[in-house]
Formats: sequence, C-alpha cells, structure tokens
Amino acid sequence: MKSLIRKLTSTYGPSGRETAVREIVAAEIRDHVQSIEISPMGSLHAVVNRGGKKKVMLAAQMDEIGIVISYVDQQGHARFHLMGDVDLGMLHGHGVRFPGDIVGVFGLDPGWSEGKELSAADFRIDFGADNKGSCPVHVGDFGVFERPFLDLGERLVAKGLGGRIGAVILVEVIRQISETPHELQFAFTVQEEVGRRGASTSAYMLAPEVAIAVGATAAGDSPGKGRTEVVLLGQGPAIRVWDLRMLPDRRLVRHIVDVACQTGITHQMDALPTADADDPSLRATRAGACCGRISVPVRYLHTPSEMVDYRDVDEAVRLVVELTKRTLDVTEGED
Amino acid sequence: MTAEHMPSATPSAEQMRLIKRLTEAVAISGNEGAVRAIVREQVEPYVDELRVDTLGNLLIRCKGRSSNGVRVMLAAHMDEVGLMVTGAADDGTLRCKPVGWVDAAQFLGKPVWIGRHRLPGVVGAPPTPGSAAGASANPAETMQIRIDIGAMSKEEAAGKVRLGEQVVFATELTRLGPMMRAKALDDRLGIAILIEIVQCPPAEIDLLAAFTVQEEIGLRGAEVAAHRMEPDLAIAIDCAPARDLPTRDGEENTRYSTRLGGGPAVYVADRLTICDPRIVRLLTETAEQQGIPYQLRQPGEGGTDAGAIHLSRAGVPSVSVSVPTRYTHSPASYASIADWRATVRLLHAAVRRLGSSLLEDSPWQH
Repeated sequence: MKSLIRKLTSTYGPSGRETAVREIVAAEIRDHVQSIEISPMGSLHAVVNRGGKKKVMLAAQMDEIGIVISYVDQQGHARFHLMGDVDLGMLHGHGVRFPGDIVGVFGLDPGWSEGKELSAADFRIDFGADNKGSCPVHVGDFGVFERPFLDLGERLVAKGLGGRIGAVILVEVIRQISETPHELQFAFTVQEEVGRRGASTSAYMLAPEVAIAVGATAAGDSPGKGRTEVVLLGQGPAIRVWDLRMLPDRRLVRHIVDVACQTGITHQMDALPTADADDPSLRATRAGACCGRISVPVRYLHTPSEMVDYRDVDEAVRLVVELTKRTLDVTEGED
Repeated sequence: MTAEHMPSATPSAEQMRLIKRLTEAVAISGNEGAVRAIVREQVEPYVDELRVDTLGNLLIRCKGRSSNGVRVMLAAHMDEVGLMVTGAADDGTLRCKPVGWVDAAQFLGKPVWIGRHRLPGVVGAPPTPGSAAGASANPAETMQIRIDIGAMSKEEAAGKVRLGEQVVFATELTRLGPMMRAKALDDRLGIAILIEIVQCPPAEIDLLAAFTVQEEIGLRGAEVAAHRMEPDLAIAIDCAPARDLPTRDGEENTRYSTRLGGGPAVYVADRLTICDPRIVRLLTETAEQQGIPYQLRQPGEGGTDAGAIHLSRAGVPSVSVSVPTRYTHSPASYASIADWRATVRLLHAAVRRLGSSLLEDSPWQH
C-alpha cells in the first residue's frame, strides 16, 4: 500500500483538475468492481454488489489543496489565488508544481511586516524568470505543492496526503472485499477542498441510505508545548462523533465502534470543530443519509508536508473492510 | 454558421433603446417584474416554451432540431442591488435596508427612484453623534441611511410610499462615445445578450434560457431554475467588476479582475465555481477562430449564478462569461459597447459549436 500512497500523493490533482488521480484510481480498481461511471462534475463512482441489501456509500476525495495563477507581473513573477484552505504560514520557500514539470518557489514579499495577517497577495511565485514573457505559467493555471514522498518507517510524509489518504484506503478496501450484503457505492469525489462540491452532487446521483466519508483528521500530537493530545498518530483510525458541520449518526458511530472492538482494531474517538471531509454534504443531500466519518490522523494538515502513521492507514482499511462485511441496521427507527 | 447571422459588432438604435429601457427599469432582488415584462415582450415570438416559475424566474426553451440535443442552460439575472423601504420616521424621511451587496456610502447624497413609478427622492443619513450638524455619516452605519421624499411627517410619507417598496439609483443611460454609463448594467447587459441569443437560437441544441431572480442576494433564482431545467451544461452571463484603473502609487495593477475594452471575460475559477475546463476551452477557441477579443477573468473572489447551477442535482458542467463593468453596484456603472457586442458574438458562435460530443469525447482533459 505504501507504493499506492506514494503514487496517489505524488500525482497532480488540485480541486477541479483531478483527471490524473481519477485515471490512477480507475486503473487500480477496474478489475474489482462491477461498474465505473464518472459524474458530470468528474467524480468517479464504482459499485460492488449492485442490488445488495442497503445502499452504502463510501466517499473519499481525490483533490488536494492548491493555487491558481491570477497574474504574471513585469518581472515574470506570478500572483495567485488560493484553492482550498492553504496554511499561508507555511508557504515561504516552498515549491509549487504545475503540469508539464514546471516548478516554482513561493516567496514572501520582503515588505510584509511581522504581525500583519498574511494573505496570498503577500507572496510571489518565482520560476527563475526575469520578465513576463519568460514566465512558464499563465493566468488560470492550477498548481499544487511540490514535496517528495518521504518514507520514515512507520511515519510517511507527503504533500496531498491529507487529501488523498481516504482514496488510498478505499482503493485498498475495494481490492480486499470478498463478500458484502450491501450495495457498496464507492465515490472518489472532486472539489472537496473548495466546499465539498463533488460530494453533494455524487450523493444526489447515488442516493445512498448510509454514507461514510473516509479521510483525514488533524492530529493533536504535533511536537511542542501546545499539543492537545486529542487525536494521536499511531493510535488507529479516528471515529468522529462531532464537528461544527456534522453530527454523525450515533447509531452508526456505535456500530463502527462495536465492529472495531469485536475485531480488535485499534481506534480512537475524534471530536474536532473543523469539517474537513465530504460527510456534511453526504448527510444533507436529497432526503438525507445516515452518515459517519472515519479518519486517519494527520500532522501538519493543510501544509506541503502532511504526516501519517502507516499503521493507522492499515487499521483504517481493516475497519472499513470489516464494516462492509456486516449487516447494518441503523437507517430506520429508534436507537 | 452563416456570416449574416452573426450579431453585428455595432449596436442598432433599437438595441441601444433596449439597453436603455432595461437599465432604467426598477427591479431589485425579489421585485423583478419590470424587467420580466420587457424580457417577455422581447422573446415571446421566438420560443417554444415559456413559463414564470414560483420564484419569478422567466424560463424559456427553444427546442433543437433533434429530440436528443444537448440541453444548454444560459442564465442572466434580472435583479439589481438597491434598498428597501422599512419604515417612515417622525420627520417624514424613509428608513431603509440594503438589498444585495451595496455600500451605503454609495447612496449618500444620490438621487433615487422609489418604486416602479419612480417617485423621486434623495438619500441622506443622520449626523454622526458628536460631530457637527450635517457632517457626513459613518458609511458603516448602513441601517441609518434615510430617504427624503419631500414629506413633512410620518403620515405624509406613509401615504406616499408603502413599506417594502424598492429604491434604486436614479440614473438614465447615457452613451459616452464608445462607452455607456447607467445603473444596473449588472446584469441588464447580460439580460440584453440573452434576449438576443434567444431571438436567434441555435438549431442543434436544446436552448434553455433562464432569466433569473434574486442573484444579488445569493443566487436564489438560479438554484431552483437549474433544478427544474436539468441542463447538461450551463453558461452564466453576467457583468464582472473591472478594477482596471491605474494604481495610486503607480505600481502595476495586479488585481484588476477584468479590463474594460478587453472583450468578454471568461471565468476559470471564482469563490463559488471552478469552471468546466472543456467549456472554457470551447469559448477561448471560438473567440480565437472568430477573431473576437476575449480575456480570462482573474481567478479570485466573487461569483455568479453558475455557483448555484453547477451544483444542481448530480452537477452541471458550467462556466461564466461576463461583460467587464467599472463601478458596479454604484449609481453610475460604466461599460464598453464593444465589449457588450463581442460578448453577444462570442456566445452566439459558441452555442453553435456545443454538442453532446463536447462532454462525451473529452472527459476532463486538461
């Protein structure tokens, strides 16, 4: 699975430009699913066991945070607009990649004064060009962070890891599924980082009864005095119970926890205010779905160097596979 | 496509008169009847289906030649920003609240029209506490602005103007050489463009024209229009702010959004929508083939009806095309006649190149 993580995270795919990621996902799962379709938005839907007992949607985003070029100045430096929730404090000195092996570096305007709030307008992208004509990018080009995949043993570091780890897990789940009573609807969605735009449209198309988003959650154990210790790397997948946009269905949460306990899967509970996966949009589409969320803890989320623990990814795959094997009786009635 | 059908690069006297009527119509969000009546009169002879939906959207279908033509939605919004009368004060002035994104400071000292019959008034504000009488109000105190209509008491004011009445800038359209100055060019220019497309519809596609309501307060008309129309793809026709004046310090203007005279502004991404790259490419290629000037609108904030349309149901590949407009949402917005005509020409040519193959043959190639 490490090679899949490397492949998917190193692939270019900012919001709205997920084609390359989609093609990799399609190639990886083609032999294991009954059908593959692409939504009008560009999300990939794959079905296993069509006509099964319950329509269970498993969603993960394909996109990653990035930028779009808004201007190239006379000196050949580019200005940009953010696509997604980019942590600006991390940009200075970082690389940015565009299609066609074009790489530039973010530089902070020396005129920026300490204490002033950072905005995208405080940065330039330097491609080594010295005039407008020699700048290799144009207005409207989308870029992503440049960062080589790092294998630190149990810990992995990459750009786009927070965005893609859910897709890695679902690809692996699809390969491992042997039997399921449900119609499993795998949705690899577009445009999560700019407002879950792929999730709501995919949920409309698929009309699931149960929907589980698989993605990343911010780990609270980054080194330093301010560590919150809420979600820890290496302690297994995090099962969300609350965030500002989404109250996961408590019957579904209990079911997930029960399955994890029965099968000896290390797990932790997760209650963080930030909504950073597709689930809020899955819950509210059409007449609504019974919705939950399973996440892998990620340090340095929304920076070019996101870190996960490989064991958490492995356990998340096991947990989702175990869930797909069992009947789910949570959509109707009292808890 | 035959050359004689291509809309002309210079407007006819009749087209100028239509723009004048449209911009001078009084129609803030939720009260679009005056514009809807003009649109209806202009398009009725040309359409196969016409309906006004529950929210007030005017929805039109011009059937294509084949029964399975691609369903293309073109949307332009009928509403404009303005104020709404919320009460009368003891001194006979009217209280009001903004509708849509308006800067209250824009209104101070400006003549306004109240209601469809254009009762004249002027906007003022109570003096800021502690300042000398007559000193200008803090623009942030939006809710404090008042309208003088010549009434000397609360009763007299209430007799002249009903609660909920709409208030717009009192600006008549003036042509300034190659330019024009008017209120509400945003989006009456888009309305005029869409009328022209409907009057000469393409034969190969199912044209779904939506003249929408309540765009300025959150794309509310477009959302329900798209749900009903179920298009395969969509183009929002709007006006984009042109912040293209030279900067004060003589530095390069890096955040102009669009430039007057640069032709139609094709969107790549704004706050609400990432435009479908296939339709963006179709538009830019069409412009290049036809020798029509165009520009890419700088990716950034803002949004159009496409923001609601592209998320409708299972999603709709969408794009926005705008006429650059200076001083949008002010008493006197300012646009280039050549940009307006180039936008009609681009859309006229582009919708004739749209077919189902656009979406089928090139799925998300970038």
